[in-house]
Formats: sequence, C-alpha cells, structure tokens
Amino acid sequence: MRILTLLLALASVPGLAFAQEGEGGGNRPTAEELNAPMPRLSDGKPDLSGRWGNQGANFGGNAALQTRFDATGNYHNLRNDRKASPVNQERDAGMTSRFFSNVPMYKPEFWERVDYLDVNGNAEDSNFKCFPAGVPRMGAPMKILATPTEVVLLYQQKNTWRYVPLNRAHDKLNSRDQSYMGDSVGRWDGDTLVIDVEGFNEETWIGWPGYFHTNKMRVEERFRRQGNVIFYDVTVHDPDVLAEPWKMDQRVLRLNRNPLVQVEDPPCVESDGAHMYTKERG
Amino acid sequence: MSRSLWGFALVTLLAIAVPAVAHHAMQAEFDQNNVVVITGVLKKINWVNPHVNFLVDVKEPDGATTTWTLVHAGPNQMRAAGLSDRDFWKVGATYTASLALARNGSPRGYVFTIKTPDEKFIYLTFGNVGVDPLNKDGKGGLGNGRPTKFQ
Repeated sequence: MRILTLLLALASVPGLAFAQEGEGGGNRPTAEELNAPMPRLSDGKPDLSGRWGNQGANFGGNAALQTRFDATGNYHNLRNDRKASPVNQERDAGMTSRFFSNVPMYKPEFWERVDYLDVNGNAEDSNFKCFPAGVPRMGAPMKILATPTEVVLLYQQKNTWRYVPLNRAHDKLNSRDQSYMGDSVGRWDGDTLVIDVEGFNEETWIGWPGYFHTNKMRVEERFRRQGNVIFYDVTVHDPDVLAEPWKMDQRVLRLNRNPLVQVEDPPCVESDGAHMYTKERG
Repeated sequence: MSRSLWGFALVTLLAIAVPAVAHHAMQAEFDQNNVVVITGVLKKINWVNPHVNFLVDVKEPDGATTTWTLVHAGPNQMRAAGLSDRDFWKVGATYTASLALARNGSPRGYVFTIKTPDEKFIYLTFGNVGVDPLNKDGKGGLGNGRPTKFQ
C-alpha cells in the first residue's frame, strides 16, 4: 500500500481536474432536455436510438482553428493543465483516479494485488498496449441503434461495437467464452433497458488503478431514458474477488445533435513501450 | 551521441490516450527538463493512437542523417485542436522543433514547439514545462525561430 500512503500525503494538492474513463459523460442536463418528449418504439418501449454524450463535440469545428491561430499565424495550444504541464496533467489524472470516493471494494487479501498492478501499470495494463478496454471500462456508447428485438451499441474509441439481442437467454457457448466485451443480452425492466454481460477474459481491468477482475465477472448495465437524456448505471458482480458488487457512479448521457461529431478513431499502434524508463504513469 | 547501446531492461508500456484523461506516461519516457531543438525534413506523419508521431530526418554535424521521432498528443486531441488538416503539415518540408528528450537517449522527444517552413510557431505546450528555447517566456512571446545548436 506504499503508493496509497504516498498519495495520501499529496491529497491536498489543489486544482485537480476530475478524470473519467471511457466516453459519453456529460454535464448536468437542463430541464428542457429532461422534459423533452421521449420517442418510443413500435412496442411502446423508449427508443434509445441516437448519438449520446459530448465527447467529440469539438471535432471538425473551425472554431478551434480560428481561435487558436493568432493574427500572425502562430498557433497557441490552450492547455488547462495545472501550470500547463503535461507531467502535471498525467499525475493529476492518476491521483484523481485513485481518489475516487467510489472504488470497487476488494476482499482484503486482494488489495496487495491491486497495489502491485497499479504500481506496475505501464507493463500490466493491457489497455496501455492498445488492447480493448472492455466492459465496463470502455464507458458508455457514443451511439445507440435500437429496435424492439435488438440493440446495437457503437463506441468511438477503437471503433468498437456491441450487439445486444433482447429477451433471450445468454448463448451457452459465448457466455462461457473469454472475450473483452463479453456476451450481452438485454431485457426491459419497465422503461429501463437492462443489459446483462458475462463471458469475459481476465485481460481487462474495471478501472485504471489496477482494478482487476476474474473471468467470472458479470456486469449489469441499465439505460433509462428521460426526455433527451439517458441515465447509465453499471453494477459489477465478481464475488470471487469483490467483497460486494461495485456500482459505478452514474453517467448522464445527453442527446448530441452535432452532425460533425462522428469521426473515425485512428488505429492504435503502440510504439512507446520500449522507451519507458521509469514506472511512473501518473 | 551514441544510440546503439541502450540496454535498458525496463520494458514498460504506454498509456492509451483515453478521452478526457490523458494517461500518457509522458514522464516515464521523456524528461521535460532536458529539452533539445532539432531541425530536419518531415519524412512521415503517423496519424495513430495513442500518440501522433512525426518522423523527421535530421542531419547531424558529422553529416550522418538520424531519423527522429516527434511524439505528439493523441490524434483526436490533435483533431480537436484543429491541427489535422491534410494541407497543414508538409511532408518533405523543413521544420524546427523543441522536444523533451527521451530519457533513454533515443532520438525521440515529446514535442513542445514547432516552427513551420513559413516561420510560424506552433506552441503545443504553455507554461512551466522546463526550458523551451522556442518559447522562452512560456507564453509563446519570445520564440526567436533560431534553433540552438543540435545537441
């Protein structure tokens, strides 16, 4: 636990940016968004189709070009890191991730492993090597296509997608397989879409600070649409290592009407690993 | 500067640039207080995650050519910043850049400031980032466009 001890001593550093993994987070929705008429599918269930979340909202906009190039043609990157330092950026993000008040509670005997993975994350975190982040670390979908019988979740990060059939049991083979995003099935609980996911490998983590899981993990995702907002809740069940199910902080996904936000995510080609000189990663 | 014997056993891997959180592990790879300025011909742009990188051919004092790797932010950050236009960077043109040098001495660095062929300055990092010869006051005001001697 030495890294936690060290970080406790640094916990009073001001000006930390709040960090979240994945995409699709948003600010507090307005009353207008919450009270907007909610479209429904032919079976009467809420239509979750749409582009959700604010990630990418600045992409493709000329505003950035106009405001960041000054009159002489020089370009100024407007960093908001503490003291505008990329080092502070990664350190602050790392510390903030470790100091979330809502962290998965492991059984006592597994915290040493969490600590080891955190300290050695540059080598141990497969997501650093361009492997998929997996569910639930990949965050909320950026786009949803929904019908009464199936739901498709699209993610900008690594151009990934998930297929979710509704109202059927897990496929016996797929749900015992070991994959990054697991086997998903969906059902409606009132007006809330509930997706049950199992069949994971043990490559992914559920959070940046070494939060590992077993291949018996089961994830429950809940999508509740109100007006033009989706409330996204995730609960992670992994009783072999977690003392209790972990409920992630709720994500609020706002309908995004910007037509310019859907862009291809370039391939991930890891080339820095051989040049890492210390274990520091924030 | 010999670059052939970098026998470091520390093989660790880089953070992917996750939206809203940049887990770059920049500090593990580069030393922001050890800044060099290079001038060379832009040979190729690798527009990839987790970091865009430029390959720049630099002619050393002894006449040999070294291909440097200039490491940038993630491609989506570069796009959001308006620096992804296909006509903006000119492959084959000569650029000058200040870089936080790789700690293992490889010819690679984390880009601070770039001077374009038409004498414009691209200040990619502001503020207290150590000594940037192309951005002496940390506000882009004192870049003189004259690279220091190749180090």
